[in-house]
Order: sequence, then C-alpha cells, then structure tokens
Amino acid sequence: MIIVAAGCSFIWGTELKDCRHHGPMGYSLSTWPANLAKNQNADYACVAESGCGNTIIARNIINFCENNTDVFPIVQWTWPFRFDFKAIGINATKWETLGPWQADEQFRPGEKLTEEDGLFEYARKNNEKAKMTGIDTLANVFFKYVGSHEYWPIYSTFKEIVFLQNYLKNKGIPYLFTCADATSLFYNYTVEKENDPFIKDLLNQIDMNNWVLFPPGTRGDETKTPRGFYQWAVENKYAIAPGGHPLEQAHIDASTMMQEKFNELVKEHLQ
Amino acid sequence: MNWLKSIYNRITLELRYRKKLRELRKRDPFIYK
Repeated sequence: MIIVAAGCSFIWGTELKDCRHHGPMGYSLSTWPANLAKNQNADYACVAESGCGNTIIARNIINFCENNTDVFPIVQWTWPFRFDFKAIGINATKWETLGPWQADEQFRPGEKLTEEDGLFEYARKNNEKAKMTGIDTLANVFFKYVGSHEYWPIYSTFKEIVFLQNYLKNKGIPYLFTCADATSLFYNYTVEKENDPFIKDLLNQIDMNNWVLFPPGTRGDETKTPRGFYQWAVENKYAIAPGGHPLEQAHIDASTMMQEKFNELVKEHLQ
Repeated sequence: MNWLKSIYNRITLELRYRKKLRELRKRDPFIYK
C-alpha cells in the first residue's frame, strides 16, 4: 500500500529539519502522514504544495490515484480563501495560487521575516514573481470583489471536498481527511450557512466518517469547536518555526492521535 | 450628488476590504508563494 499525502506546507513539511527544498522529492518524512506510513510499514509519497489552495490538493490526489494502484490518500485541506487558477500568460504549465498575502500590494517579506529566517529568500522570490507576472494585481481585484467575502471561499472548498470524496468513493479508494483550520472551514461563517440551501446541501454531502478533527480546546481563549492541525498545534504551544510551521513534536503527537482512525479505515478497506 | 455617493461607496468598499484582508492574513499567516 502507498500512503499518499496532500495538503499545503504543513504536509510538505516546510521548515522541518529533513525538508530539503520545495522541488520534486524535497518533502519531509517527519510529517504526521509520513509517521503513519512508517508505523504501517507502507510506502509513502507526498503531493502537497506549499502555499497552495484546495483545488490543487484535490487535483494532485486524483492525478496520483490515476497513475498508481493500492493507494491510501491522506488529505489535510487548507484555508478556504486560497484560490488556485491556471492563469493565462503567467505560467502555462503550473497552477498559481492567489491568497490574502498576494492581494496586499504593499507587502514586503522583510516585514514579517528577517533575512536569517530560512523562508525569507523563498518568500522574497515568490513576492517578486507575483509582481512581475501580475498575480498581485489579479489577487487584489479578485479579493476585493470575491475572495474576501465569505461565500465563495466556502462554496468552492466544499465543492472540492465533495468532488474528491465522491471520486475516491466511486473508485473504492480508502481515504482520511482532516484540515489545517477547522474554524475557517466549518465554524466561522455565518449568513450563508444558515440561509443558503446550496451551501447547506454541500455540507450535508461531506461524509464526516472519514474525517478526523483535533479535539476542541478547554483552556481560556482556545477554540471551543473541533480544531484543525495548525490551530491545535498553536493553541497547545508546540514549538513553531520562524515562518510559522509547527515543528516535529507536533507531527509526532498528531500522528498518535490519528493512528486509531487510520487503523480503523485501513482495516475496513482490507475486509 | 451621484458622484459624491459613488466616491463614498468606493471608499467604504475599500475600507471594508482592507479590514477583511487583515483578518484573513491573521488567520492564514503564511506569506510565501
């Protein structure tokens, strides 16, 4: 069995010690899905992309499943307000992501990172590229009229989740889903969830039996609803790298928490 | 008076957008890409 993990930088393992680079095969083997693969003595592949949105996540898993057999996908969905497009004239072969940071025309990486931080050069290059290719202008217009409103991010992410879930179920492929931030995905929006029947229908189509969320917080200002990996790690004060990524211990403990559900899903599939 | 209303609406939209963008960046603090 090949365990294939998809998600954003948390699943790539950005800022973990053994993450070599952001190119092919540069991913870490210390992330929580990689730990589950190790415990299972299974092969491991990672199709995550740093900074990507949920469209890329779904596409990468489908692409992997179309080209491999005996696959168990583990997906950690990212923030709903990252949007992936194949933008004409920017890069004909690679999808581009628009996020709230590209939408800020004034942003300079030095405002958030120092030059000594490992991610500074990566962020600087990407920032420069966004300006050169016009992605920052596109992001600014898109976010002003679409992306910063709560409807489109939630609607498009639920569509991707239902799309991938139905693809996997139709093919009889077992899978495990979780997310980076459950508040942004399931608990933070207001008007549409209550009033929009289509959003409600999409939400009802998501089969939560194959999901694991991290337990709600109990202390002071911790999140009182089930959490995603990033929320859980930050609120439990795990060591965090300068660029904001939870370090190895958070991944070790996350894999321990995921183990039981993972075993159950694998067993179910083998029966 | 329509031009005044139009400027007012544009400024309100811009301010609302700037505030929302700040909130989103707080929730997703990852700058790269």
